[in-house]
Amino acid sequence: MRVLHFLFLLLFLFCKCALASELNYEQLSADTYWHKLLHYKKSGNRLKSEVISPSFFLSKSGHSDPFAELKMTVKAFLSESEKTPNTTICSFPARYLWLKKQYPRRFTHNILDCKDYLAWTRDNEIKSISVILASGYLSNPASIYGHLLLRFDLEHYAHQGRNLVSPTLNFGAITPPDENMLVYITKGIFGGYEAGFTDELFYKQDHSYAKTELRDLWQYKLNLMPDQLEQLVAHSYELIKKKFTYYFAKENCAYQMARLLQLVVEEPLLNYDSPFAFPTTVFQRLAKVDIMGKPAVDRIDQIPSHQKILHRKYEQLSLKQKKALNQFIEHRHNDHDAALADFTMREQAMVLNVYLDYLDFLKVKDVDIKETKKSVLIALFKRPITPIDWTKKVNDKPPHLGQAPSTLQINLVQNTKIGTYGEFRFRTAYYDLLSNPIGRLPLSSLAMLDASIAIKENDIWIKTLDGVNIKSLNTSKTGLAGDGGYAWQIRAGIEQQELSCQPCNIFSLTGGVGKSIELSNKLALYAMQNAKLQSASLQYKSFSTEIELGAIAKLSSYWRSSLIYSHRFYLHDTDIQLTRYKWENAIHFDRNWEIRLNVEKQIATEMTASFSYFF
Amino acid sequence: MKLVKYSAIALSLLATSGMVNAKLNPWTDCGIGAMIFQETPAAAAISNVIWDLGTTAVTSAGLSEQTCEGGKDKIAAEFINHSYESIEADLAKGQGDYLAATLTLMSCNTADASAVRSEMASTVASSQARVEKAEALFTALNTQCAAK
Repeated sequence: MRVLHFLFLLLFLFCKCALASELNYEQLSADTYWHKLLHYKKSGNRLKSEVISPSFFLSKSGHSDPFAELKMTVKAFLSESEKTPNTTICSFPARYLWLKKQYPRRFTHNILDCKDYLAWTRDNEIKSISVILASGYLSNPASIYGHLLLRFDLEHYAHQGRNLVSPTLNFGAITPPDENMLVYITKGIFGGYEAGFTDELFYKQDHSYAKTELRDLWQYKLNLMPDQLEQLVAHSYELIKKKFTYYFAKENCAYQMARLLQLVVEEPLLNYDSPFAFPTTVFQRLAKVDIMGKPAVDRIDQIPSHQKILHRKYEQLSLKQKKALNQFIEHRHNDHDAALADFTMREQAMVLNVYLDYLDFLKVKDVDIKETKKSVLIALFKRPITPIDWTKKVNDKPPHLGQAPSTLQINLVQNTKIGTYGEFRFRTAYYDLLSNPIGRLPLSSLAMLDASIAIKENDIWIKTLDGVNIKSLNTSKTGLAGDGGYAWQIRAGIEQQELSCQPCNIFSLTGGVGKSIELSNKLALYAMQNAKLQSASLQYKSFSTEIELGAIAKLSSYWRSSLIYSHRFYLHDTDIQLTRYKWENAIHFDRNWEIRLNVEKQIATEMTASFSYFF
Repeated sequence: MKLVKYSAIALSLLATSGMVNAKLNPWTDCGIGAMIFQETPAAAAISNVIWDLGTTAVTSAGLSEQTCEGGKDKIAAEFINHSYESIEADLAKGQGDYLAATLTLMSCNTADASAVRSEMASTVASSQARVEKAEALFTALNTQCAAK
């Protein structure tokens, strides 16, 4: 009998929970999931939403009061008892899903009855979500570290994984069309822009990033249960056209996309206490974490840039085919039939295929190719369809295997004038010419906020402090006209005037332009003409010009080496010159660790042994 | 009376079939032809977001309805209009992701693509404007795939 009583009691309690008409507002409003849905961030002891659009909140104090926002949300959700969901439900489907999960008898509507929402989900056809990384792009300060997108994959439209017509969520600053670059950078850094989520079909992103800006796209397909997929889709819909404040260094695309993904990923996808957020960090963490006990990433695919596809196809042409192609390019003649007469139909198709890709590549560089392209298209249309199996596909290692963006370095230095001293270096981001090449632009360096402090007995001095230091060798892989361009560099910061003195710092601005050549995939050479503006120091005045010659070599899979020679002339007195030699070696024994051994001569000779940790 | 009845049925069938066949031409009916195709110069892309209510409103609709409000035909037409160069190149090569996506959107198969190749060869060779060529491709595929 006691057992029966106990069972009745259990049943009673169960029914009471299930049928409870009163919501526990205190408990619900303190739930971290509710805070995630409202994009709250702790500001001291208070919560404050990062969304600045008033339309995102139903309560007047909703941007900082989760309790008030919950009350108003529930009230609005329950305000109409019609069969079809009301406008509030349809505007906030993720909030509704969350409440429905806990109080299924109070919240009975199906969010798919919302016409606009159903249309956005393509009649509930979204079967998976891919997080997409567009590789770094040096021509756009906002995309220098890469960009992040979220694609809602419609399985039916997946063509070789590209999913061109799937809706894709983007986050970025809302800027005037012809914004001045300096204003753009300044406002971007100091929060002068609003930002927001927009959706476009993926082909527009593919066109912009892979075909026009020639950037690789990396797709990380998430391993989601249907419930998690539904939550992310619903919340993404809520965020479209909602505004945030944009900060280039932190509250950027990586940060906001990571915050969105945290709805279903428990472990942090960024270090939210850090003043910086980098897109690659999100991917490095995604590759490590679980979602409900399963690896967060199901599969990884690369969409190579148009330029990379062109390079890989060009490699697969025979010498004879390359010669024919070069003649077409050189003479721009239209008599393809005569020039290709000695080739089989398949070989002809290969040459014309690469020629067409090459012309599309030139078009990106604003070369007028209209009539030439028409003649190549006609030549291909005249021939029977000859599908080509390009056996060598672009197959790079995914970017999450590359080094983390920030560096801590400890150096031991032996200087012929100063003696032995220690050096501590912190680089906020990112890499240099000798860094691990995975996931970054080849033969380039990109450093921001890079500081070295030297310590010798009781003396401490700043050795270098770079605000920005970017170099791109821009080599040509094919030797075809237009492939590759000018090598260039810019640098702004504090440096030592001479290796032999301490402290003898100068503030300098350096810009350089030149040419480079990649002799093989193991050796590149470059020459640059630099111009330097600096604060006067010792006998040196403000303006100088410099010749710089360099060689970058890949000596093994883990050892890279560079040799740089430069000679500087000061314009006020050409007898004042500075010559510098630097031999630098990087040994990558792990993606998070690196050893460097350098020798540098410029008045004094300095030998350095470095130990770097990337995080 | 029977004659009247049969005539009414026939008329009704004709009307229905007329309605089914009156397919939407997004170029003329939905203003695709009036859209200006914007090519993004590499150096000019300084923002990552196109904050364009019109564009997003168009793409934020379903793929099922045959209407201008984001109907399947309009999405196919927009895709062809935006990606014409890529589809044209794929069609010439006989393969490619953009061609495959077009065929799926238009409910066509690879044999349909081969069938419109000769027609497209003369379109490509012509001096028609880009938007006209895109429309010609859409129409050729629409006709070819509807004829099956």
